[in-house]
Amino acid sequence: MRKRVALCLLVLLTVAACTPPTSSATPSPSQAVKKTTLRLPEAAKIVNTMDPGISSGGAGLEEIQNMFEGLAYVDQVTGEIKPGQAEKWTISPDGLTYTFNLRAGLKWSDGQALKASDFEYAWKRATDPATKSRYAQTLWPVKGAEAFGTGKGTAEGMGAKATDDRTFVVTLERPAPFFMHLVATWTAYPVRKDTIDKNAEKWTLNKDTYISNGHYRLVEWKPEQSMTVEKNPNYWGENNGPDTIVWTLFDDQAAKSPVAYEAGELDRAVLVGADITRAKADPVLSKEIKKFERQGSQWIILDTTNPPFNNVKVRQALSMATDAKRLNEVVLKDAYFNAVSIVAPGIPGQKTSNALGYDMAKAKQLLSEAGYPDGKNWPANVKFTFASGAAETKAIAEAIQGMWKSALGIDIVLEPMEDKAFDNWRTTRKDQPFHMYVSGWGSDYEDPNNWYNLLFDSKADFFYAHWKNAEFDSLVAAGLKENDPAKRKTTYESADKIINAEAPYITYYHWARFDLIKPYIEGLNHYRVLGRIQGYLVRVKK
Amino acid sequence: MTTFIVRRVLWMIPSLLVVFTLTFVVVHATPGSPWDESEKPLPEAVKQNLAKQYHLDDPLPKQYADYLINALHGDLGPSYRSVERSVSEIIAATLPVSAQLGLAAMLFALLVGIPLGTLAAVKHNTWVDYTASLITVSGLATPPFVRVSLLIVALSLGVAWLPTGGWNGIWDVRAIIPTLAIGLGPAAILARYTRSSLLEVLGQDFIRTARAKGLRELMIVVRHAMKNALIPVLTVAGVTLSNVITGAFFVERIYGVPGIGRQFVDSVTGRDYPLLLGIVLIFAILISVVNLLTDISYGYADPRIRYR
Repeated sequence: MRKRVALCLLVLLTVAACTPPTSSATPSPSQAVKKTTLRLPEAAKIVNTMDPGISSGGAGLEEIQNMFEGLAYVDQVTGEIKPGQAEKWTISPDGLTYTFNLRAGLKWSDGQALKASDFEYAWKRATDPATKSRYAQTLWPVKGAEAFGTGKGTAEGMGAKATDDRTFVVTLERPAPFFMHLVATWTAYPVRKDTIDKNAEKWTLNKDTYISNGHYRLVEWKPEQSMTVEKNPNYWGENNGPDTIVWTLFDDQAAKSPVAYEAGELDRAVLVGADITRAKADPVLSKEIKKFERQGSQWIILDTTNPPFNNVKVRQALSMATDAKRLNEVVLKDAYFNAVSIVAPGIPGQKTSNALGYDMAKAKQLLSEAGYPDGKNWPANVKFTFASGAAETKAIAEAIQGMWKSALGIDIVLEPMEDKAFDNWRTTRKDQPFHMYVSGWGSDYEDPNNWYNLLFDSKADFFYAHWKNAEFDSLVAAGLKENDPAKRKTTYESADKIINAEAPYITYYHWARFDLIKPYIEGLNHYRVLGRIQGYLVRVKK
Repeated sequence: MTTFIVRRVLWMIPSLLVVFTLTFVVVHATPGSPWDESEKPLPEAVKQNLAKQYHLDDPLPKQYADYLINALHGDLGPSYRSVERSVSEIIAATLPVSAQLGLAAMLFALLVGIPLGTLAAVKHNTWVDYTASLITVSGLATPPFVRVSLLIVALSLGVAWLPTGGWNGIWDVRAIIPTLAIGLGPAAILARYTRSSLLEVLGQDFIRTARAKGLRELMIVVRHAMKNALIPVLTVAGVTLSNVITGAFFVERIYGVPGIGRQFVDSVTGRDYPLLLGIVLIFAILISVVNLLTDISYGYADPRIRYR
């Protein structure tokens, strides 16, 4: 028997010895001397497409932006529009025709020449409903694009045309002063027809078929695990960023990336909630925390046609009784930026002095004028609806419930819903009454159109507040057409004043981003709009 | 025996159909769309186009029939959320990972659980038994997602021996933490069953006879007692096996293992109906097969059982 046990042990040891040596995803120190690697976290759940024409810009966008470049791009430090694949462009005096001149000698990552026709193909493909793009509406200002995208037109009817190898001419449906921002969006990146024709939706899966044109190119994508890119030698400009970027894909990057960061597996971690407080108290981590602005607003949307919120004084009272400073600094431990007005700062038109602000005495008076002195006669069962997935929203809802109760003497009922059920409920608010719910908006591009016209205009009414104000509508319509930036700003400022005074929305914080960044990483920046990390700006000094 | 197997296999067809129908009805009765992924809502026009492109605006009976016909042809359809990989491809990529991990965890459970249970039974009511009980009870009392978190804290952050997550094949060090986290539960169950079953057998007459013959204790336990004691353990092992190879959902999520359990959780929260239906079908088949194999193995382990 003893012999047998010894034999078993021997077999086990042999198996162990034959096991291939363990390899790690990160290069060994000897390699790191020559080559630099930036190791970043990314959310695995929604990196479900790396196709720029299809992506809705959630997780995966950072990788797409590092590997592709459009005709123009948004400078990730200043926010300015800079020439990318196009060396210059001209806009016709009526603002309807954009002519882009491509740089000479542009190449795809596999060395083939990149032509203006690649842009024409990509734009028409992204608009085609059969492509199933999650972001097709980006290109709808182009003439005939909305018709094509909704099945009422054809690709030929779309105002996007390559007139020769280096000239791309775009005609718009109507003037759009924000159009260059759309040109810089990932939906407008060029994609290669031959690889897509040949590999269909699988073209994004491996390095031989995922042909790109940006600073980096794909090395390997392991779904749900990692993505690795290397410098693209065929990129027209220079790239002094790290040689390789590796993204580890996490199901819950907020929960997992700090752990991996502390174990030295990542150069950046995402911090939320309690981890922010913990890191602030930690002697090492506290020096590695960085807070970035994100141009977004988290708000409560009120149904302005449903009592009691059809009374503007009630809306104003609630807005003025909401202590945004305390919500952010005390309840959320300063995880965001204190709300200053409905629209996030930085958008032309946004003016902090337009905001109602926090004023308890005034709030009481307004509520009393509205017929609810000290909360008397306040209807029962006024519902505050929110998605229960984020613990933070629940904390906020409870804090606001308490705040309004003590300040105004009114009761509201909290109505948490499972996230997807909430999305569904929200969609049906288009023509159904509600009291109030929580949602938010972040800039897709830094232009008033992305807020005032897209969200608040009564025809758009993106959040279904059912708020109508003719003066506001005509001001934002005028702003949309105005080509003079100064005039445009004042027009939107007047509109901003109206919406703040009417209070269909109560903003309770502006978005932020908390990162842990290793001390040897320089230049890692999140611009306030979209804010994905651009590898070429980062230096790994290790 | 053959008739028994054929009959059991044929019975799988109606049960699969029932499982499929129930899942189909439940997922379609659950509110929510697969496309609201980011922190802000998608425009209505885009969602409508997507619903049309994926035939989500067809009447439900048509969707049901279409799916079933395609599934019978081996096509489990597109995943709504993964543009580049179909449901069949996702399952083909993730099931082997979960299966490897599950088998490793099962092997660990057998190699640890049965000896531990045996030791506890043989050294009944001594400190060995109490220690073994302590280990097994704590194994039973902690769910896998707690164990995996504790193991990461201890082995990755504490002593820094192992990475905090990821997957690089079953022979990589990254497989250790998930294997332990999944395997400890079944190991504890097997140890408890082995102990109680063995205690019962050790009290029987034929063991006393063996002892009277002057056989060595080790021989008595291994040769005579174990063979009888392991029959109930076999049943439990079968059920446990189907549990572990279908993926330890939260262990895979927390440790970042690209297995099928993780896809299952994601497809539910993300309303990826075709992926969810595909995974449920595969699980149903796997569980039926493992149960069948367990039943067949009784015939060999226990001579009192005969199949007709």
